[in-house]
Amino acid sequence: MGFFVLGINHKECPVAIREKLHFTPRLAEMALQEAKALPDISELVIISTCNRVELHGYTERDHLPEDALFRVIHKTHAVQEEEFAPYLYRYEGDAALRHLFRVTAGLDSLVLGENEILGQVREAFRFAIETSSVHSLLYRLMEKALKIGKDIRTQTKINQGAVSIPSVAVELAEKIFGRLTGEKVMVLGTGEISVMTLKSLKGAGADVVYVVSRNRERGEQVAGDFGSQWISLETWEEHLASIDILIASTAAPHPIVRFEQIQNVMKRRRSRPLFLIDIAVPRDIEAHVNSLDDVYLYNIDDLKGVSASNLRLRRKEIQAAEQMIEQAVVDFKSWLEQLEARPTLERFESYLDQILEKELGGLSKKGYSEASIREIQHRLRSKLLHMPFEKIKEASKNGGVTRYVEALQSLFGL
Amino acid sequence: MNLSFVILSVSGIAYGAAFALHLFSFCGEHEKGHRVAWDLMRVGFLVSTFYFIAESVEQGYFLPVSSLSQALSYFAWSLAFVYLILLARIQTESFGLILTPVLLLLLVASGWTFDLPRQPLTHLQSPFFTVHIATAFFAYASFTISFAAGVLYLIQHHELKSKHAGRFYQKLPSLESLEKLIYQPMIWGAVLLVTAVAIGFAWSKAAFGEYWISDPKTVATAVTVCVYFVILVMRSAGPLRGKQVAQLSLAAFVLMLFSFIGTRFIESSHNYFQ
Repeated sequence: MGFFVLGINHKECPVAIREKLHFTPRLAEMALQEAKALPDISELVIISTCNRVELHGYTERDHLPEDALFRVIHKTHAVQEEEFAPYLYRYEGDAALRHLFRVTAGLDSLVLGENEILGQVREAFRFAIETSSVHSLLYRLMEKALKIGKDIRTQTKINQGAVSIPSVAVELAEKIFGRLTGEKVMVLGTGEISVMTLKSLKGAGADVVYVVSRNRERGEQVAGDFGSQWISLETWEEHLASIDILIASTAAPHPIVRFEQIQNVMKRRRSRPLFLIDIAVPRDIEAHVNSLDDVYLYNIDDLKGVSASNLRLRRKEIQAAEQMIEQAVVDFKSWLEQLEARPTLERFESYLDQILEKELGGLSKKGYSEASIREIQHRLRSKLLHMPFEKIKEASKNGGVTRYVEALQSLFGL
Repeated sequence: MNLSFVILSVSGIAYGAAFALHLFSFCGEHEKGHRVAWDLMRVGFLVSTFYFIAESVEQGYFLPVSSLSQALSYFAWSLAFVYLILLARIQTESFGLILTPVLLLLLVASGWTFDLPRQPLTHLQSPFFTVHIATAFFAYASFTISFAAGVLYLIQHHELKSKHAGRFYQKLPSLESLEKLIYQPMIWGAVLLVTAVAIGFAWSKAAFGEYWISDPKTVATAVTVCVYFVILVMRSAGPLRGKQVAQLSLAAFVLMLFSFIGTRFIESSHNYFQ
């Protein structure tokens, strides 16, 4: 047998089921301890994120140890098998390797090429190491998976261009202001997306200065989170001239930021541009504000448009990423085959050494010095081993090692 | 083959290869190409520098611009110098996409006119005249960069306004960076051109006994200086914003082109090369 994956992910399985199978650190530890006690599972890593729950492992058995894995799941989760079974996918051998590499590369993610999964897999791996549920083979595979995930991100553009609304907002702000260094941000309304956008802008270097909210308590709470000031909906206009980025996301039924307001503000702002992000539906900012010079207005559809455009660029990179993954699968299989061939090769080396020692030992009687004999022995050994080793190395790239190993065993009685 | 021509050709080939790589990187997804192109542009600049040093030693002038070919290649060298050296702090790699074809064209034109006879520019022995020419070329080079940045600014501005996140949006630098690339060389250009004009007056007085020689080039240059200073004052005082500065940099560049090249087609005491 070999490597396997059993899991569910965002593509088929509804979030309600994914939630039920989610492994918290405590549950993951219990599950890994349980797996260690099961002879069918030699090694195991559990990757559990909001988009997937996957059990990656290695078994000595000649089939996927499904029963043992279900036992691990039932040990930690009160969920009926019928609930999640229709959504389960199973991969074995090459397919399991390929799937793991696609996961770390972000090709299997909800947001193509996202970076977060790499950290989540790294964390799952670290946790499995601490629980001693990984040994040499899965350890090597996880290392390879993390490396290929990183390589694909550096050698392709699979993770470039913002695709989430907050990151698109940051990207646009950086296209207008350059690297963000304290640009002042005001937010109208404290909805979930606007708070996430604030976080992203602050993380990129902007300075959140005003939180405007009808609900004072909520407004002050959000303002406190960002070290900013809450102001009421009655007084926000007077601060408009001092800010660089305005996020609007109120539940108002009609626009609250009007063309004339921004026109007047721009006269006072001199040469500084103004970036307006309208993520409210219905819209908070009058659309023709965008016709003003140095005013850049993006509503939710515009932001989604930029996201879709960036996503198209990412999709162009899929083929290059898939090629790198295929190469990684070949390399890993090659390493595995060489590993499997190692005991036979060691026996072959020792067989050769015995023969060479026996046959060349007689040379000392013919006047050869010990050093010369060792030299001849070394050179003969290298020459005799070179070709078989090279052949086996070559064969390991396309799965032909077994043939050579069997031939060696049979020909030399190893 | 003339060794000077070979050196100039090597510089042109480096600029050409840099342009091809910039274009390849712009159309494709390989950022690495921009960095290699950047290095090639530096190589082209260094080779050009070597060419001028060699020519300077051979001709015995500090500033070897005794032919149209040399004037063109010197302008290319000035452009590269302003961008690579004077604007080192604010330059962006993708700007090479617009700069390298200009450098290449100038060197191709220089190669094309290489065999034209050299003019006996006895004025070049005057240090006043040498500095006058050198500063004027650097000023024109600075304005050219300002103009190119203005074009890119308007493209990026259009991309952002139209919400079209296309290739230009992805590849061009931020508006902030581009505005610096308009404004900073414009300051350099204005200061250098004023210096060139002032030295020109001094040299005119020494050579011809009067400060002001009224000819189309002098008048056009004086108007160009005034226009650029008005833009700079209005930009620093506040009324002009990014897009307007970019548009005015384009308009001022047309005036500068007339002053630099257009007056060549009018009877003028500044017409040295035919």
